[in-house]
Amino acid sequence: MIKFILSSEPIYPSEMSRLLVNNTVGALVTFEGWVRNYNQGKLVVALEYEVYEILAQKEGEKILQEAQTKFNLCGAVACHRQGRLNVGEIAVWVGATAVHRGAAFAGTRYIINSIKNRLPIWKKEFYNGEQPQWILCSQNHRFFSED
Amino acid sequence: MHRSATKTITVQYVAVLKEQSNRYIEVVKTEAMTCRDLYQDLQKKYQFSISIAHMRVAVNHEFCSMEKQLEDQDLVIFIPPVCGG
Repeated sequence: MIKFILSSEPIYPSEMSRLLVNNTVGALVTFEGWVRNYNQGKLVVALEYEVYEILAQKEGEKILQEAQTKFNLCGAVACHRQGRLNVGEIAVWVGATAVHRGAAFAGTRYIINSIKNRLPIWKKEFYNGEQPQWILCSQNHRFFSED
Repeated sequence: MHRSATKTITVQYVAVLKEQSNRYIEVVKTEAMTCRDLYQDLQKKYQFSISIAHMRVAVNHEFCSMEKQLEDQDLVIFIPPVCGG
């Protein structure tokens, strides 16, 4: 099972994990990214993720396929939210399965790092009493190869 | 900057570029030869705050180089630094 999902609805981890159930698998490693209530010294009340859907979907699937090949994963599922999220919500969920735990850990790490660095997704933070602000993670673009 | 025959290009704006240009999409007639030329024109027009060094670009929904030659009727989306996860 290889599946990348963009979702406007809350992510339920048990539903995600269920997609990866397989009797040949010995390890499942998951990662959840949560919306926290502060960033760079400011109190955050909500986030908005804008997603370039066509390209994010293609690139998300590509990342999972790369991880499967690189780490010999049995399965890989990732889901990223779009739209407005409140503090405490899950923004991103990643799960990777393998015969043994080492590959599952490495695969999950590769997927979440690639999601953060490569997917065309942008985050706007909302604060109490201040103008919302786009967060520009400029360091990310150095990871792209020019093709 | 290199110039060529006028092309019709659709530009879609995302995130901070959408706010700074105050538009989501527009059709431009341009003589710009490459994506780099086009971004520089649009940056001048809308005072985009992000330098081209930090931008990526997709043409017709594929990542590509800023040096890619533009073709008539291309759809161009400039990609500010991403921040998912």
